[in-house]
Amino acid sequence: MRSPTRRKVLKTGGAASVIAMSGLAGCSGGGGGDGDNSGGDGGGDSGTTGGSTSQDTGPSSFHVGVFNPQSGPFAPWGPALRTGAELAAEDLESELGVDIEISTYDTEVNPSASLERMKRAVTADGIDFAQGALSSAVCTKIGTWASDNGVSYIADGASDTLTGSSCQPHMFSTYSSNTMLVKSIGARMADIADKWYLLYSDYIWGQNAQELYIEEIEANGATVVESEATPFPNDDYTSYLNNVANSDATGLGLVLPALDKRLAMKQLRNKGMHENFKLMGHQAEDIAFWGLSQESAAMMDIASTGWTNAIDSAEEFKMRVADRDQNPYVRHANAYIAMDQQVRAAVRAGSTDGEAIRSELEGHTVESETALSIMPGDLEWRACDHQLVHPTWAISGRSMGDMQTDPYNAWFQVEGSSAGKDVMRSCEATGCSL
Amino acid sequence: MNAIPIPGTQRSITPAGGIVWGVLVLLTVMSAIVRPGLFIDQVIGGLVYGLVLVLIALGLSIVLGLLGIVNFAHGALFMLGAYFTFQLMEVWGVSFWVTLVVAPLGVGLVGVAIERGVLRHLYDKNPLNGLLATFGIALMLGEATRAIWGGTPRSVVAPQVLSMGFDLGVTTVSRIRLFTVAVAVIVIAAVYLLIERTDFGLSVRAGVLDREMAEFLGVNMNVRFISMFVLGAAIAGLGGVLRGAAVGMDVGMANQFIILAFVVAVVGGIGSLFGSVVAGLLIGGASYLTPLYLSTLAEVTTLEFINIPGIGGLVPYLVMIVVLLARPRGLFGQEGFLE
Repeated sequence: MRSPTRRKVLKTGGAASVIAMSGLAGCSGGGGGDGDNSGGDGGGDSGTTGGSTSQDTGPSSFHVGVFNPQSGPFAPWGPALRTGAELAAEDLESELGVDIEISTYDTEVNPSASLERMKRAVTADGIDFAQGALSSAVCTKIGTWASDNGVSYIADGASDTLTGSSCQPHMFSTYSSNTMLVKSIGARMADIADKWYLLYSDYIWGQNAQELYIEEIEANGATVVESEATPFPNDDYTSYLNNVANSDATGLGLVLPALDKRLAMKQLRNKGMHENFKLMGHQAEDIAFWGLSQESAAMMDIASTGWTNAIDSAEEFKMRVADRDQNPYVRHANAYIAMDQQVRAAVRAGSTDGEAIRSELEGHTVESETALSIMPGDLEWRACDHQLVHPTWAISGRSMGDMQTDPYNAWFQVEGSSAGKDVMRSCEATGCSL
Repeated sequence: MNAIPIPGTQRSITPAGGIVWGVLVLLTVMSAIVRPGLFIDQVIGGLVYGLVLVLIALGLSIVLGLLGIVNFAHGALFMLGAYFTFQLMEVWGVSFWVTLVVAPLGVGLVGVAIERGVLRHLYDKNPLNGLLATFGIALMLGEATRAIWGGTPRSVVAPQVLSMGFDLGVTTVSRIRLFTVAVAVIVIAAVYLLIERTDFGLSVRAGVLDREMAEFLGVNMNVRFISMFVLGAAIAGLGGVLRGAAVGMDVGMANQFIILAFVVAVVGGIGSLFGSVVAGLLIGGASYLTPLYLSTLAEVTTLEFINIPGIGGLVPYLVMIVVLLARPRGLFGQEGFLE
């Protein structure tokens, strides 16, 4: 934890650097690079919005940094993180009478580049707090720096380490942790197949998830005959599918990021193997399947997710996303809730300081009607690890005749849901000490 | 293009080389005995994957070998082929078989624009200029693709005859992959004949060696260079059509394959068409068999640490390192080219 003083020093230094650089380069302003401003006017006085407003009156304008992948393999996810945040900002401005300025920053899948952008966002652009990023490595990198400098940040990465060994005082997490997702379908997996073969992406998120699946599947009486690492990103899964075909597994678990999951499923189908295995998809995000045929999406026997557009609520939210020519899925919902919760916390605290927001979020039970209309259930910010406790869903592919394509794609159906508290790991098991 | 040299035919195998070959043979025999079914699957799968890589790398090799341009936009042209497929099949309702011809031609037209607009100014210049220019073009094409078709992954429905798997008796291979292999073989043969067995190819090769002299003799090198770039672009587009039909398309596919294509071209030896074919097959085979070798060895010796997780993704680069250490110009590289 750091004092706000250090943050002010950073801002001042950053502003001086920008002035100097502008003078040298003959630039006339703007965030430069890929920082992209949108939303309300927000006062626009870098380094002075929100955070420096006195607690008597409280801040009425907020400058929020939305970190999203705009290039690289995760680029297709970028628009959802931005759209969700923008929709929440619209609602907050209307409901609370505040001004919210959004600046977006490209994370690529590059922790170092993202860190540089986070530094610039805070020191030069003067954001009050931040949200977003998908890659757990990126989230950890920027979240650690933000937290060290008293800037509140809500991550959208999924690795358990974000709310475990890498947890930070001012970093929170909306996305379902791997544990939550695994526990939401582990028993169902054991029900539909007794021998599983897992293919997982060989980086922190995949490694973590496959360990949890092995534990959960075996705890429910089934076995994992093999768990095999695959590179990320990968351009060909055929050799791995050959290994699966030559095993005695009856179920295939794809613990792969969305685009790789799509590729593996397509190649599985092309080889005609899909009829021989029950198929599981970890952290299923609808967007991955829109690049597949409906026929392929229908193959999914069981999948875990932290939100699905198949739930019987949030119809208005789904339509607003559809109006922006996007199909609603979990990232829209998470981005909305991150913006909603962080701004409300700042308003309650009367400050945008990281420590003040932390005090408001820790242990807070979500009461925002808009947030609860999107994600129905009990939502709470757990104090011990900063994870948003929220329901998770088990889904499966609809039959092709039941798939909806207008006004937005809805290709999955709900198999069941779990309350957040039932699928969370215990505070002691997180390894997080806040 | 010069006659294909066959390296090593005049040389005896060194003791170190003998040990390496001995170990490889031993591992192959061991894997075939311990896991015969999987071994056959991976051998065939590796050869198929290798030919898929060759098809993707072939256009790059042509442009690099004949025009001396390090075409970093090759991956973007490959991606365009896939997105043209989406546009033709899903938006305009054109059949796959027509798309297979029209989409590569469309990419070839993009190639004309690139060659006339940018690259013709860079011939005989430092190769770095071409690399930077094509890198910029790749970025522009990537963003244009995102602007036109969006960032969400897309797919097309391949013809029924290319769907599902084909039973080869010992293993099952997807039909679209086998079709890709057939197309790759035809394209490789056609390009070889064009360059090695026609007057046109002879004049192109003459122009590469001495453009001034070739033009002095009345050869219109502009037409030939445009033709070769269009050919390279069209082959990239063809690869994109087949990849798009097989697994769909996304804006990341350009970057995903450009590195592998360069690895194939470098391992094969810059400027060597035949080298690209051999390198593609070598890398494909090694990518599929190395994990099997290691897992078998781990099983036989009970030394689990040998079975390195995720080694398959590193294999193309390991092959490149080994080949370049032994033969710095690649397997069939020509002395003096781009040096």
